[in-house]
Amino acid sequence: MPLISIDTVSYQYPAANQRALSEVSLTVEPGEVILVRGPSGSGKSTLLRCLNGLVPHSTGGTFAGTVTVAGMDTRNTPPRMLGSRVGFVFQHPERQFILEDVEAELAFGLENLGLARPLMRKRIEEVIDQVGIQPLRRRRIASLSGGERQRVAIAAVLAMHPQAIALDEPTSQLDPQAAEDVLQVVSRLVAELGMTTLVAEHRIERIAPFLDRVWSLQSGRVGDAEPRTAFQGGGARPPVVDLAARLGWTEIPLGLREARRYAPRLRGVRPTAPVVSTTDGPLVARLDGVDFSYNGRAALRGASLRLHAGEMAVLMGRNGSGKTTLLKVIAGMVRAQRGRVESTRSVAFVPQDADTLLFASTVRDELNTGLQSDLPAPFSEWSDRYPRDLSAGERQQVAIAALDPGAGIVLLDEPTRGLDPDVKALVALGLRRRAAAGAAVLVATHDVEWAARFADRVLLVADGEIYAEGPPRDVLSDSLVFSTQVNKLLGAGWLLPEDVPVTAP
Amino acid sequence: MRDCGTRSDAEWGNSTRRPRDGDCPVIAERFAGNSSCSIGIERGVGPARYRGERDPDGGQTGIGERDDSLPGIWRERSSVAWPGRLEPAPEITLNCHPLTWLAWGSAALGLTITSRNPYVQVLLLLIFINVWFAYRRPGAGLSLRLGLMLATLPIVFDLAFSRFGTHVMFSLPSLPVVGGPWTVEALVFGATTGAALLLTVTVFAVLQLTVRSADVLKLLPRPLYRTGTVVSLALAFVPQAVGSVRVIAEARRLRGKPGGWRRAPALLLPLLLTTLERALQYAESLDARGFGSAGRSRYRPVSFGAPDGMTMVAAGIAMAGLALSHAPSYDPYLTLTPAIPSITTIASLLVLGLPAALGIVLPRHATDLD
Repeated sequence: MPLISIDTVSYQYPAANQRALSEVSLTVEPGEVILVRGPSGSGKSTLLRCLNGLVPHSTGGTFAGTVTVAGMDTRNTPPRMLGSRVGFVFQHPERQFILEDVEAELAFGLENLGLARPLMRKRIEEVIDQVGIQPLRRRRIASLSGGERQRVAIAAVLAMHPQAIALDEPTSQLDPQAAEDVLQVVSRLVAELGMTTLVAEHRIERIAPFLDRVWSLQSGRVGDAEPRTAFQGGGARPPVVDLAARLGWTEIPLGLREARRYAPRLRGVRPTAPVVSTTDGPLVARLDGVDFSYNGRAALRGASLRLHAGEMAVLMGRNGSGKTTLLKVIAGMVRAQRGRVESTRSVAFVPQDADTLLFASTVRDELNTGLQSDLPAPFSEWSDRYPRDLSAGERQQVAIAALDPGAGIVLLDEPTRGLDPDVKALVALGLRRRAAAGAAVLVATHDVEWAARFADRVLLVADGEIYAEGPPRDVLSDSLVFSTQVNKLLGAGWLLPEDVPVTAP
Repeated sequence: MRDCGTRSDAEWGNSTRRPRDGDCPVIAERFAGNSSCSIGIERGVGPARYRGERDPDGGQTGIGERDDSLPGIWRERSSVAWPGRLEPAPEITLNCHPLTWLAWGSAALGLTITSRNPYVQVLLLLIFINVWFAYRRPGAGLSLRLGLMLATLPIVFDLAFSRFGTHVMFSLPSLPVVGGPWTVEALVFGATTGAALLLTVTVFAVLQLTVRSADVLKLLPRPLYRTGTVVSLALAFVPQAVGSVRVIAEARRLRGKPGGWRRAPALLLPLLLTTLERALQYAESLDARGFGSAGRSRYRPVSFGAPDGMTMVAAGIAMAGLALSHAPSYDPYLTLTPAIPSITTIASLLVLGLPAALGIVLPRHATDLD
């Protein structure tokens, strides 16, 4: 008997024109690991929220069909009763905590279950070991990084001994290393506990090897398939699958280990001549030896940087390495405490939380305040919608489109987080067009594949200093953390599937 | 501030010290109002490590500076006087029971509202500020600055609009509204009103530091959990709203919208939206974690210890003292010179400063090392 069964569920948000889910029928067997994928706004979050009753109990709207979780009909069971059956990890690491410190947070769900103290203690000790958050147990939540928070969030729901765990894009806000840590926890749950897991995730390559099924959403409809079949059909998929499709491999590898079997065949082939992009546009901004510290904690130490008109540069580094501060210094939002900052053009900036830029009542108004649209994205379809009702990816696109078109320096902080590959490409296209029109574009991002594909120049930042700089091929092919999947597989300066010549033997 | 005696290297610099039975690897204390002094070893960072023992990964075991003359040893910049035996960090907050603070807050607000006597006000301000200092955290000063700004408003208003009083400072020619005699009485009246506002803000600033909304939430009986959600949302989001204003104003500026007070209405809508969105997310988190689903139990009940009792009694004494001692009233328009409060009044005010003393003497909840 399936653990979860979804039977012809349709759902429409209040005041929405179309259904978010349309006659969806799916089942989840105990122990299955399911990837929920689809473009931004396709209903991934909505589908996951159906499982613990947040849809429709918390959201309202029109709900038809039945969702049964461990024998309970979600229509008659309030979400608070379902919370212990389906553990839910939200997308925003900063917005899902109730209490102030880690241990109290872990205990919160158990207190709500009314467990006896000794049992709570046992559960908490166990979950701390399972998730590996022993060093964090006495910390304040506010002092944790995004990756640490997500691990605590996973531990907090796991302590309730749910029958399944649903993760709504748990790593979309994290840097590669932190995302790796979180997904490692997820794969451990799957491998060691046999936990039934549903995960909406754009960083597919890490979990692909564990998957039992893939649910692909497209405007409210869901396709359910085996991973290989689903990936063959396109959509968001790991770069090795792209490579396999490009080279016509008969069997689709799901991960690096499987792909390695084919890799030796490519060893003899050298990459095509590297494309060296020259940044010969006029200098529009320069930073020399800039220091900046927040409350005595150094965020930048002697950072130096040049920006040229017409280039698209990308800034990469761990969380807290100083990327955002560097952008803020260029934007003039904070003043360098030492060193020189010069810029000759006006600056436009999209902060990490692009939502803060949106406050008009319709998308049309929003774009009018920023004068004109810059992306070929379907803004016309959303023009009468309320910007904050859009999905994360859609909001990001609107925020970028609303930027002042006259700005000569365009700065973006994590513009691709939470976006699916197609939208990421649209964002890059829009930025490329800006660069072609003579603007200098500087993007802080954690997205290695995106940077490898679209950047002219990559700058690596650590501890407030820029420590490596150059074309993506030079900088990223020589890195373990900031490395693309194809590069991990093949090395030799191949970053992307499309770099590899089709004529490879 | 607590006196941070510097500990000599000889006392703990022995890097070969091994654990003894009964030793606890946990030393993580933070003393109120003095975050620079402390810190030992955090519990559970890998294998238990001991003071003076070097992290096998070469990392830092505590907050301190590496002393190159003593290989493998971290020297603390300053440290508290350590007892001979290493005591475990207190697991339960000793002086932060929410009821205690609610009682203290009521007494403090009661005194603030009922007396306009400048002597009483100055005394209260000193007391409240001391309590605030004992519990302050980095970045907590914003609300006090807000209080100071608020306090200047009544002074300006009263000065400009009140024409009563006999002690004239100067007269302006017959202009509308501001023309006429400007009096000391108006200045003093405005100042006492401003002081009352500042005192109120300070009391709330203290409560913001000491009362965790989640603890108040837990005190509520289960049938009231919906109410509890609302209350804790309100408590949690007022400080966040202040942060949001800054973010939104900054975002407007980035998109080329001018700032300034005239744009305040334009900020209001996004502010409301952000706050509501956070509230919704918070409510969803509560639901997803089963809040209000079954009987409640406590993992670590907030203890009600001797310091709580003492503070409660102090709050009671202050309130009773206020009622009995007939605190002197004050109206500058009647007599400019304020009456000097009686010894009983002063004494009953002073007991409200007890949490300041306790905050310094008692170790606080051990949490982060950063």
